Amino acid sequence: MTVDELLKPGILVLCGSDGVGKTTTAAALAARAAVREDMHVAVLTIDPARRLANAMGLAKLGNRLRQVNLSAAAATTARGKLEAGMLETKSAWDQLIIEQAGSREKADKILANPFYKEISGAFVGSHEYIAMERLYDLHQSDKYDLIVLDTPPSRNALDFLEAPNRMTELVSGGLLGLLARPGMFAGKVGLRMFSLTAKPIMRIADNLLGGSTLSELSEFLVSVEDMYGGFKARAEGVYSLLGQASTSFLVVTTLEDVPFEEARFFVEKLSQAGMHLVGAIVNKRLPSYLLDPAATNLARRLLERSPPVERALAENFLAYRTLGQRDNDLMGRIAELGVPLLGSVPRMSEPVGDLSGLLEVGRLLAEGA
Amino acid sequence: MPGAGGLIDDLLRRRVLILTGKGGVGKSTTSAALALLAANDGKRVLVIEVDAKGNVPDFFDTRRVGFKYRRLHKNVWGLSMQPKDSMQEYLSLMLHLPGFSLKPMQGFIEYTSGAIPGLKEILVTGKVYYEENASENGGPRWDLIVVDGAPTGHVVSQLGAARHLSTLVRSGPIHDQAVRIANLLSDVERTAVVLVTIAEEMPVSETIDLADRFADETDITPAALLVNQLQPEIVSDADLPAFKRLVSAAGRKDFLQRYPDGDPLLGAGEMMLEAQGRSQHLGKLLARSLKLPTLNIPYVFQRNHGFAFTRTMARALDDLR
Repeated sequence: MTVDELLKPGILVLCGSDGVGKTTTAAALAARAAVREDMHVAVLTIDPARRLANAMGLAKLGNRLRQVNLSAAAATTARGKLEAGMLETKSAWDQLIIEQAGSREKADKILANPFYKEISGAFVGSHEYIAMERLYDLHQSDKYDLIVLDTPPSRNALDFLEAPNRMTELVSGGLLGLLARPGMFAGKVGLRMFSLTAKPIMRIADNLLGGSTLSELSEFLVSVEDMYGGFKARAEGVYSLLGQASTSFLVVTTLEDVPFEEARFFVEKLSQAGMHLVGAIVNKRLPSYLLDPAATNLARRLLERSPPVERALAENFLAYRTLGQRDNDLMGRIAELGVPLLGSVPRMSEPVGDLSGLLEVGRLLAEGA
Repeated sequence: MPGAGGLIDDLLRRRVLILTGKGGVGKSTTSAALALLAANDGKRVLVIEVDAKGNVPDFFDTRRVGFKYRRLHKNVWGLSMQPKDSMQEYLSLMLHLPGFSLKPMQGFIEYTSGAIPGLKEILVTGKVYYEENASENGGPRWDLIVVDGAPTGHVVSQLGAARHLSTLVRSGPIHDQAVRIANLLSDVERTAVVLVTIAEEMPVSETIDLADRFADETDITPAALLVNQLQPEIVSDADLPAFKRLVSAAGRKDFLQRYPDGDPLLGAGEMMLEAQGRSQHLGKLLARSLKLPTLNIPYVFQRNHGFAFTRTMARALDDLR
């Protein structure tokens, strides 16, 4: 498979460790799809990289998708369209509540509740939930041929894969569910268990939280209760969307130990979850001349007898050579990932700064590994 | 502002060090190296991994650790946060119940931890608090706790969770405990939050954003900035102009005439100068934006990871003292 074969209608999800160039890869693939395949493409990132936003001609990326002017690059003939947006967790949650609440009045009440504020803004993992939500929204809008999603660099891929499940759990499970709808909890653990444990549980909850918190909490729950059905349906929708054959997952890595291990981890988790994992992309490859034997000999010779500046040049080369060797070792081990290597991009001296830079990255990726 | 050496000693005299930064900047390595440095000073050190991925034991060439602390090296112990175990421990401490009596409610506890906002997050800092207080043989169990903390995206929620929870839950044992945890984290005498970065654009801009978020959303003030993987001084300042000339177009030609195999050397030289230029520019940006005591840690050009790497890095830190 080649990178260009991925640029077909559907969804492309990029996973990988932090700092491996996921966002740039996502933007490059999206730009290539729009320019070369004339597709209507949306790229959704979590990274507030200003330079990348500028590269797409946008002052900054926001929660609302904005159209990228493709004619800025030498792509005036392109009939495709590219839109880019960034996930802002808080505003995406607010939007979700407004859509689901039914009435504005009801939405406002929820938005003002202290518990809602905690849930939407503060808790770890809310990013992962909302990324999936936005993906679902964009897909439902039927506006785009291809959606490219740059996932949060979540150390725990499970967070992200389980996001839809955890979202329903959040609103319908646990103490929240118990307080608002005791029957639901009973359904989960069996009625008998419920009657055995409900009293001590309520006593513990009361003991732990204090009376006023409990009542605020249940007030909040009653107000979101009507939304259970909507949330649940959406979560199921998201999950089936991720599992579709037209949804492809790509793992991005660099040739460094930690990201490489992360890539391995992502491959494992995605395979376990039955996701359609198509391959890996390697970024920031070091130049192969660092391993040049003649240059190595020269450097060793210069170390012994030469003016200080040339000695420094030699010493510096040998230092970089160790990095080149690590690069080379890990490249040799890329098969261990168990997915095909689809493309690689060399280390660049400057981060990508404009649309033609993105298209160049896309071209390099399409050249194959 | 203390010098580099003073800064390391200033950090190591605290009770708790919490390292955070963008993924890939070497948080775990730095945590391990700082722990080793303190251990070599004769301190009893506990390393807490916050991330489920947890690879700190790799840096000591030992197998993975669980929620119960285990020895990793002379004077270094490690433990890894496990949500289920930590919730049990937390609740049993909170309710003054032995752990086993919570077993029948396992399912309920799992739900609860997901449902009360901030409760899961507080477990991590709650564990830090608990270990900081733990005593053994009439003295504190640990001289220093090093937390290999959450990455930039999560750390503010995590460290801020105790204070948040204490305002959300306004009475009862959860409230009291949350206040005690929050007080430990914001006490600069006992706790130092350390921002770790490398001299690259994205990690630097995330670090600056992170410092702003600490100021806006928490009562925690980071104590120091560690800049990892800086170019070591292979070329002395005095030789730098000559080095630049050598790598420039004119110098190149002359060098290649003498050494036809020399092109890769010039290439590597250029890469180094680029990296150095970037470091200087970003270093200034960090200094201007953060005004934090800063420790610059040179790149360790070494292939092997594991304990050999940790030792080299601890030595590099020691050299800065």
